[in-house]
Amino acid sequence: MTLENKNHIGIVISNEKVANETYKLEFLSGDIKNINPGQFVSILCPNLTLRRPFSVANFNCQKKEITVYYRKKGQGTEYLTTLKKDDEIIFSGPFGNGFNIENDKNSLLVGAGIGVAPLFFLKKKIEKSIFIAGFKSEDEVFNKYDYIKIGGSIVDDVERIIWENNIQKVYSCGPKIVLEKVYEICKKLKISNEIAFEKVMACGIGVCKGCTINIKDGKIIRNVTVCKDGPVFKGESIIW
Amino acid sequence: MVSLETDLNGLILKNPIIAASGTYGYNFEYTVFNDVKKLGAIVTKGVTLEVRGGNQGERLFETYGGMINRIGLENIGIYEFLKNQPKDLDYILNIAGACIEDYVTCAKICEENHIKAIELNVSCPNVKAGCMEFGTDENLLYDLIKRFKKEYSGYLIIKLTPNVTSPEKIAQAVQKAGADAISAINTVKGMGVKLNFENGRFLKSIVEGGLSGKCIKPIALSFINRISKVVNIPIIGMGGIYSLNDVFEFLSVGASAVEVGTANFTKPDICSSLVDELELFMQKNNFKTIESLCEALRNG
Ligand SMILES: Cc1cc2nc3c(=O)[nH]c(=O)nc-3n(C[C@H](O)[C@H](O)[C@H](O)COP(=O)(O)OP(=O)(O)OC[C@H]3O[C@@H](n4cnc5c(N)ncnc54)[C@H](O)[C@@H]3O)c2cc1C
Ligand SMILES: Cc1cc2nc3c(=O)[nH]c(=O)nc-3n(C[C@H](O)[C@H](O)[C@H](O)COP(=O)(O)O)c2cc1C
Ligand code: FES
Repeated sequence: MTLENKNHIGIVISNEKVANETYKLEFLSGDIKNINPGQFVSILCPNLTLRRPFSVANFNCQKKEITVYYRKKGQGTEYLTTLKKDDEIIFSGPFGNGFNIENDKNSLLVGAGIGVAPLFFLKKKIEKSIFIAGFKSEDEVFNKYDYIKIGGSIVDDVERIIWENNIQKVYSCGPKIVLEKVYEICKKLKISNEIAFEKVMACGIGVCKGCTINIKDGKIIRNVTVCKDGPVFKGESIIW
Repeated sequence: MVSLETDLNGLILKNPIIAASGTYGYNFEYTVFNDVKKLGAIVTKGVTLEVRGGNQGERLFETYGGMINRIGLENIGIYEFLKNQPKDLDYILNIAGACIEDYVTCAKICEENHIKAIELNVSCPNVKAGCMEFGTDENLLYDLIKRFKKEYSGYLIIKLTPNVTSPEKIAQAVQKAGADAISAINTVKGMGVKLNFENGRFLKSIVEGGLSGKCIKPIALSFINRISKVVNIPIIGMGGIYSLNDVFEFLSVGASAVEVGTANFTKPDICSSLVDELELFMQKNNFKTIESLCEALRNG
């Protein structure tokens, strides 16, 4: 059995604050060969039992560099803020199934808050796309988008943007409430929708069943793991 | 040359490091992290007679020095397991049930399929019916083991819960009923509460289930120490093992082998590392066999 090793030691290249409570971490990824947009890595944090998962926001295949964006929440992300150039990090991955990229479709990428992270990577791999993002306040904004909403809800603009740009597929990531509303719009307009989901994780490879959710598979309801079967799911399969 | 071979009075393992149930899958899944074949054995996720979907809602909660889980025994069921049994891997099949009949039917199925070793989970705190009830009542447990053994002739390990007042009584019942070994401990009943104060209101989320990881090691050591004084069948110790020193602590209070659970989430290659470290330690310090090491630890 020749399976790709998923244990890695990374070397920090840079770790900088990009917005209020929000940081960009770049590190050398050792022997990882390939990562798809939507996949994630899990970082070991001192004194914590569970590794912390973060979406890959970019993977430079030649230089073997991974970028993640993280928002400071608790002990794990607090530790990440202390990392400096040349520090070692222990991480595993890449895990999960990424987005199912359909390049022949006009695509809309909808991110809310730190949920924009995996969409940067997706944007690079998609030919015809518009990237829109919503943030709670001005000081939380980082990076560039085709359209930004500050305060209020990005969801309010989704339908208009779909009409104006003849959008055929929507990819989204962010808080569940945003994902659900985006899905409802897509359902109404009969547009395909993929979302990146989150759940507290332990193993990352689908064995512990700690991150199980129910999904609809046609008429059948079945269990899937967010870490292995996801984190990207079709909007219509989610039981909201 | 040192030998790590571990004889559990009928079950011979190439070394005493075993991956614990529920943290390692059913098969070679952890090959993406380390060489699974190196381990003494893996214990499979607990299987039941029927397929089970497990609990709804949040299943994991990180606590200080550990975690709480309430998976609720989501598993593929014994028939599906048998279709894809691990090949060329030393494994112990973990079995759970809601009632005596379930366990007995599983025993028959295992006998028919020549399953070499079983760990009987009578200690899961996360399911509504059965399971832990057997592990907390010595009479029920005695009957269960007797009936199980009538149908199954392989190696039988009984996995105990620490959620009892008298571990000694339970362990004695297990030995008297004729089980080959005891493994302990399963998770400790626990609860995680997370409060958020938003817009003048408390928002509460709760995960109640089984506590595992570093924080339960003292409970596990005490449990094993107590039962090792009253039984002479082999004990497989577990609960918060994260290092070779932890392994030694368990062996020193009466365990003959160990299982590693939660640590696989923190360091997914820990099991194979422990095997390497153990071998190195024995070479360096001139312990030729596991028995001699265990003896030295117990007399320490
Ligand atoms: C697939 C996936 C991709 C993610 N991508 C990103 C990202 O790109 N950027 C980002 O900032 N955040 C991302 N997250 C969320 C991130 O994992 C959490 O914010 C982080 O784990 C918080 O850890 P903490 O110790 O700082 O905070 P804690 O105070 O420990 O936790 C805060 C919250 O984070 C979540 N969390 C805690 N532990 C875990 C765990 N083991 N697994 C999953 N979630 C957990 C829980 O919702 C918890 O309530 C992602 C989560 C998942 C599941
Ligand atoms: C996520 C998870 C799932 C578990 N599932 C099972 C199970 O199916 N059957 C079982 O007997 N024990 C199960 N356990 C218990 C462990 O095998 C072990 O007894 C316990 O976690 C204590 O060891 P540890 O601290 O090394 O994890 C599970 C533990 C965890 C954390
Ligand atoms: S984290 Fe273990 S199954 Fe998903």
